[in-house]
Amino acid sequence: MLEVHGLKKRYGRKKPILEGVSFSVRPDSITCLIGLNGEGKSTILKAIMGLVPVDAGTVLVDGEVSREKIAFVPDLQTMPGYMTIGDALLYMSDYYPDWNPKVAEELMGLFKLLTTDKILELSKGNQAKFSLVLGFALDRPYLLLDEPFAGIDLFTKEQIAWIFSSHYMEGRGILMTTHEIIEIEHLIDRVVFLQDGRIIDEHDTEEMREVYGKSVQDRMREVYQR
Amino acid sequence: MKQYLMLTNEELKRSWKMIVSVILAMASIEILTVVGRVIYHERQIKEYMSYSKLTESEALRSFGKLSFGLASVYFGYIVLVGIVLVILYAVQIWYRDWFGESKYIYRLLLLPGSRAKIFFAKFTSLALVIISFIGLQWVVIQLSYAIFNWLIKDDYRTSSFNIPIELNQLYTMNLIDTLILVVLALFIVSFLFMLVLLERSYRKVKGLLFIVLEVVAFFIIMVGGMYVIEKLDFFLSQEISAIMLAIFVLYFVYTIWKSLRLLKWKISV
Repeated sequence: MLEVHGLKKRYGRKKPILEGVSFSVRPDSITCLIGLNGEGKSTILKAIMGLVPVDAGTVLVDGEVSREKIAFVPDLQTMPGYMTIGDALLYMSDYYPDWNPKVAEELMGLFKLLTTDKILELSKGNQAKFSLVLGFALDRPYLLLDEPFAGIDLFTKEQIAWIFSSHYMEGRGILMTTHEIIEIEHLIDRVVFLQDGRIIDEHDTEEMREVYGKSVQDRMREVYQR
Repeated sequence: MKQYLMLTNEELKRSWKMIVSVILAMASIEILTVVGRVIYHERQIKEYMSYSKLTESEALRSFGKLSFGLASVYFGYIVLVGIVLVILYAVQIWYRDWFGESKYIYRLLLLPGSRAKIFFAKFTSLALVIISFIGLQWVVIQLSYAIFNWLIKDDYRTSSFNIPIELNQLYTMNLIDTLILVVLALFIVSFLFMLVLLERSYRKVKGLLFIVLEVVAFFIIMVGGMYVIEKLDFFLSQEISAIMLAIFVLYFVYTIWKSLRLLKWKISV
């Protein structure tokens, strides 16, 4: 289990962006962090990965303070500009002992990505796909995805969404942020609603649908349009 | 260790074109200034001879012979440009990871293991650039001296090998002096790294404030310390040197320690 306890973060003298955020991500499930722009969703993911220091709070992975069991796919390119996809794959296998070249190769084929292509010359959709390759090909039980569907076309979204229901998901706990909830609503197991730096609601999606008769989008409207 | 070596290689790979271009440009300019100075000197003597109707030896007697020191008088400025470029590189080597074509800083900070290897990889890259720069400068001086001797008529030049005074201090050809020069350069790099990491950790006003505080602290400790010790008139000159060396080493260690702490706990993407 990935557990986030009491995350607090304030940038300068501004209003705190996170005011004691706590939630958990179960293995073998997809948890979606939902909130309007600027609510601190990406900050939470970065804080979990230690990419922004927090004022308070802890992150535990299976009871330990360790980030080596989490892979992170941010919504931007993180490889040096001069690299080709092939260079980047080599880089990953050199630096990460838990890199799985077989999965990388399979996903590269699935997404029709070429090792000779320069990463920064890829289309937005292919960049998103390649980022997912880098994340999924790490044999780690937890995966954080920051806006994996942002700015990409419908068919690419469908291809990416397919992965979430494929065998690549087995045993993994996923935490993602997205605004494109309609396309993946049927895949999500749990939603966490964030507002004003606090968790204001949390639900298992199945329970929400069966007990309350509401979709995630319905609940979003209730939360953010009231 | 393997990751540190790979990262160092990666850093150099990212900059080698720029480094080689700068070094080649500087070496070419230096050699060209010597060639230009020789041609100019010879032309001046010839013009003086035809204008004053003098023989070559008479013209040389009144006009003077060209020394290598005079022919390489611009080397000091070019070395100064090199120093400024190394300082800029020490800053750029960090900032490109935040503001380059991609956000490579994410990848670096997420690499498995300690983040110290990021610092030391960048530090080693700078060290290698500085050592290459000093070594190549020495080679360029020797080369341009050979070109100078080959190009100029024997009668037109002085026979002694002398280089400009400011370069003489830099290139004494003495191992200890060269070592001191490298260590001083590395200290400046380490200090700059700490300032960059302070800014990248605290950002905006707070970041600037910490930078100002560190610079002021540096001057108080190093310059103030030296002033007080000398004013006390209590220590022998050798003891003063030892105290200053100890303060310098401690401060050097402090800059590295502080940078590593910032990278581990405070840095932000």
